[in-house]
Amino acid sequence: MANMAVSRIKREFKEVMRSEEIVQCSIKIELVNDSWTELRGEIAGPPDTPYEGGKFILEIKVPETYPFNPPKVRFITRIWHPNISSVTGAICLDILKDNWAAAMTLRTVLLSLQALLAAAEPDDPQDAVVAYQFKDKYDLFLLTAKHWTNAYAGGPHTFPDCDSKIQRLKDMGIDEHDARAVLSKENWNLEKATEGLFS
Amino acid sequence: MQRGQAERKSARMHSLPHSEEKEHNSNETTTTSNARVAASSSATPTGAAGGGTSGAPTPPKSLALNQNHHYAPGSDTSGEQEEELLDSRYECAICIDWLNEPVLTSCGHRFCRSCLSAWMQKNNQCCPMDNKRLSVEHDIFPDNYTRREIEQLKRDCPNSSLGCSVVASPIELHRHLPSCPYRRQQEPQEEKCPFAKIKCDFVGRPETNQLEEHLKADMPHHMQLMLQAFQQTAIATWQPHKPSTSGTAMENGHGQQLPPPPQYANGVDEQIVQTMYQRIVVLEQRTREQETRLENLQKQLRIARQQAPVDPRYSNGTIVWRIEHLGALVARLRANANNLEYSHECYTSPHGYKFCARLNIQPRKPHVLSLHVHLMQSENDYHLEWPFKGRIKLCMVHPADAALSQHDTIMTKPEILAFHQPREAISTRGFGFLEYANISNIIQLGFCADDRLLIKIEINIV
Repeated sequence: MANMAVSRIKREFKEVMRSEEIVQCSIKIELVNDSWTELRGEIAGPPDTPYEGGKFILEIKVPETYPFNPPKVRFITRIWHPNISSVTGAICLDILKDNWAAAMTLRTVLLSLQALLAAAEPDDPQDAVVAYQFKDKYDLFLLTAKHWTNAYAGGPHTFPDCDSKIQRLKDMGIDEHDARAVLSKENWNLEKATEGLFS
Repeated sequence: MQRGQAERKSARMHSLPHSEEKEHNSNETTTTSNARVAASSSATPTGAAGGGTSGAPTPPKSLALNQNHHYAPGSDTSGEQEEELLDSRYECAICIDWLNEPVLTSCGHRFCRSCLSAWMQKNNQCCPMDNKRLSVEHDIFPDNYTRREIEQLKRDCPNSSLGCSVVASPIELHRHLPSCPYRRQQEPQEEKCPFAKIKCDFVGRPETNQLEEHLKADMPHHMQLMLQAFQQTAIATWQPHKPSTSGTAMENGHGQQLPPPPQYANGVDEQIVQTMYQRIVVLEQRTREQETRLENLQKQLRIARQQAPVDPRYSNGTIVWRIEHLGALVARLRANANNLEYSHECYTSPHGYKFCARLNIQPRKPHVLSLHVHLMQSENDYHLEWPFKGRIKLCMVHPADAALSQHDTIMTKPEILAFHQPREAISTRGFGFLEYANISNIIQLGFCADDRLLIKIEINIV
């Protein structure tokens, strides 16, 4: 069965390489090892979303039983999104779980993930904190997502206010990423974040 | 042909429902790797392998090196060949390959029997295409129509360029390839190291990544081989002079005899390395010189091509206006009073006033040319004195006899609006002669050799 997985991945690779999207640089795929079981994907943040301008790297693990079971995909690039864990990059997307179908390919998976970035499902969250912010304080969610896109995925929007707050926590000896995570979680309230960190 | 028929028969026998799955899959992988041998070696002008693998003469090399990076274009040439022909009607969405023993679902999708049954066993009973519920008993039928269609598609064996005359359907070729007699001949064909030319005798099995490993691991060996090869070609022409270290060695009193040059592992002595180094330096210098020379030549060429007109900023208030195709111009100006012909611009000094000249023909006097001078807006306007005060000399140059040239001089007057600061890119008001020259006179008096008229305008501040 593993043979089937490898030969399919090889064919899918060609599909992606020939696709329109690779020409437009919106998706990309690379081999990580020679055994075709681990791949690295890249998707561009879709336009008109807080992820615009960012490049998000994905880890793709192809199971022995592929295509009868879905590939295991997670974000390596940190991202602030209700359906993606801000800690582990784990993705909550039906087609990567129960709704997988053997006719889907790496290309369709990457495109679905791009679509997920454009249309979050806060009612079926992977990251409850992000989902709560999304529903309750949408403006702050947008700001945070843009800030993370800038910090981790090379997005264009900078927020000096966020940076200075992070710097304040860094000055207290907090790791930059931890500082960003806590501040994001506490809606950029520096006092609350400090409280949370040191209590 | 005999053989092909036998193959086909055995294929039929195998096509019983259950033993099928394994058979199909194992066949498939062997096929791809085997076909690769054939395709890479037969990437000759006969071009059976129509795939876009570039660098046909050394496919193994590109194969090994590329695998690490993105996708390996040459790694599955057989797939490439097939895919170009593979019609989506005949493709199984699960294995993305030719439908083998196709079945049709009640929702109208085709799959290989083995692929779909594997899917149905592992997952909920849904169609892989549209997630419609499927029951094994009621919703899946053998699609013999498509099976026959695929069987009708006869193709040459990928080894046909090597002499295999088997023509069969894609599915049958899958089964035929592992046992293709012409393929067997190819089997001992191994991947040679790209450094084989300089006597690296490594050979690897193409379906493994031995060659790649070899290329990574045996780099020093390759370097030495290259050194040797270089030595053989270069030593005859290059006379190394003694290494300069010999003098100091003598002074140090380390005996009368120089120590023999230290030997490298493969017997290449240091002198050769030094020789090569010197040679490299010389060559590098030469390359750099050549590059510089090339650059300069290109620069000159660029300038020559442009035939760069004088920068108007440094024209010193002189417009030398060469009007080509006067006949055509006159016709155009006569056709419409709004047609104007402007000269290129000039500056009275680098930070001075900007001017251009204009020709037109008035409808009332179609036989005379009007010539006017216009001030133009420039970045200098704000610091200049207005209105402009100066002398404007107009000269229609006679190409043969300077004495015949027509000279006119205008002195500016402050009340003339044409010399006030321009409010438009080119001031709408100009100053000059409504009747500058009679067109028939111009031609009769020979001003217009080769249909070309030269007007020189000099503008000076007074």
